[in-house]
Amino acid sequence: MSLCRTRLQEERKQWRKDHPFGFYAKPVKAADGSLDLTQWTAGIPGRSNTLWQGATYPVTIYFPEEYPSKPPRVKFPAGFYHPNIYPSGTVCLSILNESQDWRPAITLKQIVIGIQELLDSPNPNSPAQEPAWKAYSKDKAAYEKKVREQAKKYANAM
Amino acid sequence: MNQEESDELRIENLPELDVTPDISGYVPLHRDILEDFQKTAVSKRVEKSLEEEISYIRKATDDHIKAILSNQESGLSDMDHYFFENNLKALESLMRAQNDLQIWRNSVDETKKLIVQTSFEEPDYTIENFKDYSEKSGNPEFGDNIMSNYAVYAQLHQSEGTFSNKLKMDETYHYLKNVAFILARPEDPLPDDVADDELAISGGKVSLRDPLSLEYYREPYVSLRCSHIFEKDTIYSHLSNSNLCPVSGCDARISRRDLKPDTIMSLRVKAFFMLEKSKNSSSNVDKL
Repeated sequence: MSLCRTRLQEERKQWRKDHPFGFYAKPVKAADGSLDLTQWTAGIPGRSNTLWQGATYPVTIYFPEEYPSKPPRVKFPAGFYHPNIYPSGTVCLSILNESQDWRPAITLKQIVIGIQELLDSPNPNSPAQEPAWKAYSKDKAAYEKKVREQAKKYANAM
Repeated sequence: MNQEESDELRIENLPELDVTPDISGYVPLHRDILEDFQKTAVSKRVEKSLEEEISYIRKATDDHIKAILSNQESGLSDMDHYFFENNLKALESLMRAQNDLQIWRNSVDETKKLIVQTSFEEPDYTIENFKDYSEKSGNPEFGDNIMSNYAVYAQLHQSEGTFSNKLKMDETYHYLKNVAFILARPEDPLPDDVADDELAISGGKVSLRDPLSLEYYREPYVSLRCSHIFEKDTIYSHLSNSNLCPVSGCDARISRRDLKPDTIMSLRVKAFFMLEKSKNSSSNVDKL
């Protein structure tokens, strides 16, 4: 079995045994009912006492064949409002960049926690989309309003 | 035959006696003192057999660990546990005996030197100073001197922690101690390394899994550059694409040459599965 499959199976086992509170992550079911370990859906809860609280943001995680040598790609829904997320929804984060801080020993748990942290602490030095980045650097009030609206959209069921 | 003669006979019968090697034959010594000197001589055989015992324990330990590691199928048993614990205790007491013997030797040698020195400094024995000589008989005896020197040396070594340092420096002792510790607590960091944050410790536990495949180690290799541990196959294949340590936040550049088998980690994994097995079997007993 390839390293990619072995690793993903272990990631799944470990996630089921123990994962951070409020998160979810699971491999996607293929049309024939079998599990596709290379594609996962996950939910990132916004941290409490931040603009992002009260909602769980859905992401899709794509693992390449070369994983864990190469990092997975993480995507929010297209048009997700955040300075470091491309219009396509792809997350721009150094630990997910092979030529930056990606290391094969980084686990799924570390990735989703890294993304949770990115939500409330955007990196103004690597803008990935115009609207959120502009608002974040020039009009904080407008930015906060937009983020809160988005949180309502993905609000946790009461 | 009187008592004195039989003592002398006994001493002469021992072949490997280390008799006053520090004193040249021409030094004039009183017959009584010479006898004392001979009696305090410790047979070289004692030291030799201590050394032999110690090296036997070293070899037995090495062989045992090699046997455990080379046998992929079988795990560890309780017997292995006792074996290492007992060897550790034996090694410690042998090394302590060796240490004490050394202190004893030092104090005997010092005392001998002292006596030789005083006998040199003494004026010739003449009818004029006969009175002084007889008054000097209040000087401490040879045996007393040795005992007081021994007490001083022992105290000194105690306060300087010579013996515990010796233990710490001894590779076999260190290794055996770690092995005994690991067999009891396979997932705990070694007591000496607790301050070492380079180790893969999460929540106070040592990970027994390869960070690349997340599976339990089968053939763990440790990087000499950064102490990170990997499964042999996965780190080798990683190194064919990159020379950067796979662990996040580690800047070490590593090559195959920097990797060597990690026996401590192999033993950890073996011990871990042994404990799991015995846990399961005892919980089965509970069920019954």
